[in-house]
Amino acid sequence: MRTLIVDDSSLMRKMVERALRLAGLDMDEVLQAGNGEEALELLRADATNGSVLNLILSDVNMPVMDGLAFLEQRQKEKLAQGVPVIMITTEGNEAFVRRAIAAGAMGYICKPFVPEQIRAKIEHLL
Amino acid sequence: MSPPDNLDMDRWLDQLDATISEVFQNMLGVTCLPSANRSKGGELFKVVLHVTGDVERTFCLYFDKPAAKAAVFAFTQEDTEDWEPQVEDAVGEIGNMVIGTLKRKLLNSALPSSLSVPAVSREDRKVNPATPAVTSRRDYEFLDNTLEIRLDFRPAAAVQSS
Repeated sequence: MRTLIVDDSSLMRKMVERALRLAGLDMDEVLQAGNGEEALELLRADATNGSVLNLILSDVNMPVMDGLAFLEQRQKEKLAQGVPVIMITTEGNEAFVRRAIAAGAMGYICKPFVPEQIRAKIEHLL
Repeated sequence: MSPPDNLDMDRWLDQLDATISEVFQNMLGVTCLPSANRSKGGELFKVVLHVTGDVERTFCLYFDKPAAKAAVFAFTQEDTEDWEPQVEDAVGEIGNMVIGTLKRKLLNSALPSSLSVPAVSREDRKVNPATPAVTSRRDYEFLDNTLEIRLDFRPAAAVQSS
């Protein structure tokens, strides 16, 4: 599985990757981005060279470009279409969920999480 | 300063205890419980988050140096002497998880409000003993270290200028 993790915290990116591996998911390649803008750059590069992602996990509350703005721009540019996106957030309120789904998110996981929650969500989506 | 009339402080503090416990146990694998022990002072890492919108809240978390170091180790699961470059990331993310979860549990999700990105700074309690009036202070203990949390219910602008 080729996965993109977007989070402004490098420690959290490592923790999410560790949780994915602890959950027993087959992670061939893990790409990392520190905010939505960096993530878009990776998706544009993938679109150019024909690489395919299997999963995107994105934080919401980030500087430069937050997770929802990233999703909306990804949709606008038609990047990584059909790739499941899971938002990782502390909030998960009604307004957030409505906007995330409208922007193409297929689900969300609330922090704090345990690895099994990530596994269950991904298995449900893939 | 007193909390707004419609604020149930006991409910906030009960939820704060539960949230702290959940964040530390699930994400860091350590127990963190309310404690009567207080930070010894010295250099502190201060994390400030603001909730803005229809409701206005400011939250401060203070990690003394041993607590900040323990937080980095809990995150990385690596015992290294070179922990300081990662401290802002670790304490900021803990603050984000604690306050974001508290916001989700306690604030009406139908009301528009947003949570700021955590701002981390260093503060020397010995040099600057005066602290802004706060509504409530709570101390916690994890791995024999203390974590101090202050909830301030003044508008964010008032806190920033005090």
